[in-house]
Amino acid sequence: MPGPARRSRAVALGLSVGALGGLVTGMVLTEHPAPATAGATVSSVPDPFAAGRPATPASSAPAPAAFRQTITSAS
Amino acid sequence: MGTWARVVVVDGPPGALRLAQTRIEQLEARWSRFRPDSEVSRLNRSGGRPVVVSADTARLVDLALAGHRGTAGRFDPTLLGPLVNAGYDRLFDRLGPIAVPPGPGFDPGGIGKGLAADIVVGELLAAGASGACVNLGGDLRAEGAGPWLVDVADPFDETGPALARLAFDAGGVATSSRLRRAWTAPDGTARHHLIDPTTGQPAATGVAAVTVLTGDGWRAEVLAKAALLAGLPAALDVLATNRATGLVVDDGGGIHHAPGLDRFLA
Repeated sequence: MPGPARRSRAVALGLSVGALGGLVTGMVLTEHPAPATAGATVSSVPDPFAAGRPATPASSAPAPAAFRQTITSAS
Repeated sequence: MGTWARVVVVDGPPGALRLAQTRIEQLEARWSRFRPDSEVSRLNRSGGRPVVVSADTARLVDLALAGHRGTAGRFDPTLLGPLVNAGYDRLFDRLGPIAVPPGPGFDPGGIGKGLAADIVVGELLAAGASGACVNLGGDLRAEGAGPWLVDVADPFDETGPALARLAFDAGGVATSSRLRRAWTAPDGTARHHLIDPTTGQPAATGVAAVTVLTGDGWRAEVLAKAALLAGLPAALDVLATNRATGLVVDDGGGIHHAPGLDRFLA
């Protein structure tokens, strides 16, 4: 369970982690060992934007019947 | 999501297309701003109170925030600035109810379509398909059983010849254009939906459209908007520095290739 400081920060952010955590349904909650000292709940998960992958170039020439999507100006 | 969907499944298990349709409809029900019972609508009505949301929606908000940070604020689904200022500016090891500050509202917009395509393709592959492509109104993700071919339409003449044909084994593609969802204000000025978050006004950067190719649909969408708002030549740097490539069409119809695009031209 989060320590006092941890809960305090969560509430300050509007993220009620402790008391309302049981209401969260359909979510996979990854359990982490509590830090040795109470504090922020920041995880070490890499930033998903910075860690984004490039596209993978075609490894072979497209076959004549290769799938094709025509995109238009979207959003 | 207010658009059409096209799904291609290669060597998929029985019911794969139905699975994809059901999942897209579920994400639409969770993320649409136009459904009063969606999770996004409930967030926007919450007045700053925490709202319990699904893992899908928590992920959507996390990635939108990551996109906001990663583009120096150019990608901003309406109120992420206030959201960040409110302190929700990093990933947490647990997710609970989310609170959105009072304001104009969180608009998943394009990143929702890109992420939905990513999610559905991932689940189709996990279900045993050897390849899948999900195209939601032009934001798409394709992986497996490649190469996939994508024709990039001319934003000034969408029924005319394609500007380029992309070929790739895995990736996400998205286009942002100021020519879509455009209108004329009562004072006669041309308006469009791509707002520059620094001015609050429709962006006027000399760029008509940007098409981005990168690893994921959601990042392609974020980068397309960021590049359009950056203008030229900065738009090309936005792509090159974020493991992406693509092409930029300026207001005069000129086409500018980002570094690395040659490897993806069919």
